[in-house]
Amino acid sequence: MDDKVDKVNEYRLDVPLNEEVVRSLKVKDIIYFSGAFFTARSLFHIRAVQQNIIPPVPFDQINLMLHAGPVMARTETGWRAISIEPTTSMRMEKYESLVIEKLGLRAIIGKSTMGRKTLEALKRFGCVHLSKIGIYGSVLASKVSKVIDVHYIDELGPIECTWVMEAKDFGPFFVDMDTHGNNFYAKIQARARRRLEEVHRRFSIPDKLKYVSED
Amino acid sequence: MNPLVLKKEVLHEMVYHLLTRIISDIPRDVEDYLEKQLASEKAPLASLQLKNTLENIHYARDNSALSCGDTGYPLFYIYLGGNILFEGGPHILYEVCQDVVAKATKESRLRSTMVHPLTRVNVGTNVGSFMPYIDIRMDPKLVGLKVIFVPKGGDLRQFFSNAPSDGWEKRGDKIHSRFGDGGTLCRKGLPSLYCWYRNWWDIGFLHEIGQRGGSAKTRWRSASREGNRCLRS
Repeated sequence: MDDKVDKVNEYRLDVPLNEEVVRSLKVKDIIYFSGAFFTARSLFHIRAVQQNIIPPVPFDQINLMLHAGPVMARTETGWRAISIEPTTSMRMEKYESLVIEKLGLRAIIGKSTMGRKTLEALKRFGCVHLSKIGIYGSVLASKVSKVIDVHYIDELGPIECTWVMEAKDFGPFFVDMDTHGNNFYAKIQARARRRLEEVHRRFSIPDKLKYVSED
Repeated sequence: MNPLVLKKEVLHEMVYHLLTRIISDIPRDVEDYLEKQLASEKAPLASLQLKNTLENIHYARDNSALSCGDTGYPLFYIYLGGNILFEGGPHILYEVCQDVVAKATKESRLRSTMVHPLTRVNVGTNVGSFMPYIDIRMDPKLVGLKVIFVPKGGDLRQFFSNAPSDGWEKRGDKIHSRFGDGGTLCRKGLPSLYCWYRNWWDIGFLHEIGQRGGSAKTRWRSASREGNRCLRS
């Protein structure tokens, strides 16, 4: 860990991230990253698991994944990031545990939380999930110093393709799932479920129309 | 009512101006609420949610950047007054909306989100069958043309925060944010812009529509006043 900034557990980490540091992180820790990361959305996960199509990214060096489909602009010399807003991570739940194992990821940035399978994989393989803090896409994009590469843009388009970028003090994000089996959102989910039962009762919603959540 | 003939060029300029302004700006009163909430918020994570969002709002406004990065589902709600005519025919309304969306997407002002529903191919313009979404209503009593543009994200269901439970809450006449438990702010929940063409065009925030009771006409009047107030300020 490079340096502890203040008492609210705010850390600045360099990529590649090492396992020991990642395992020391706890839920609610606030993190800024410096170094390279890559973007991955649904198609990245589906292709990686079902078809073994994986972009040629050196994952041992770039072990930070970002769930996002950024807004990018062409420049005379390449690409520029306009906005990078992390997207809902839960969409990737079906495949994430396999991707963590396959690529040896140490951190995943997204929006909100993920499910039980991912939580188990984080614990087993030494990886954390972080969530975005506020609407911050344009400021995050301004922290990108270089767009290193883009893979499969012609095939998948600019949102689903894999962007590889480098940034300085990219963040803040907060750890919402750590390697100790903790999920920041678990308490909120439990409270929401209790409220949901009240809502169902209050509006006399019949069983067949009740909202059901898997996780 | 005297007939008003709208040229394609004027319509294009108006809709383009509408779109480029809304993606970089949000209503001042919403911003004020966020500032107030930040001042009283005690939870560190919640404070940071608000602080970051405000920083992003200021950055977007100052740099003509995006106040939200998820804007690739363009929605137009158009109200045609009884006196409005289009030079070349009413189809220019569709053409202009499509042209402006394609132009803004190419300029990276809108995210290139839309894909073909079957092939999943992304053509990079957000334009295709029934896209952008254009809802046109006739209002014979209306003078002129009103256009509302909503730069939505991926899903019509997500007009409000899609975090697990928390987000916006309206109590009385105040909007409260509830981020202490880590709810996620979402620009999609923030109000949109409209513009109104008469002999000239105005642009204003649409934030009162849907928040006030009364008939649609009353709500339009409220929005119009707000639009004029925004212009004056």
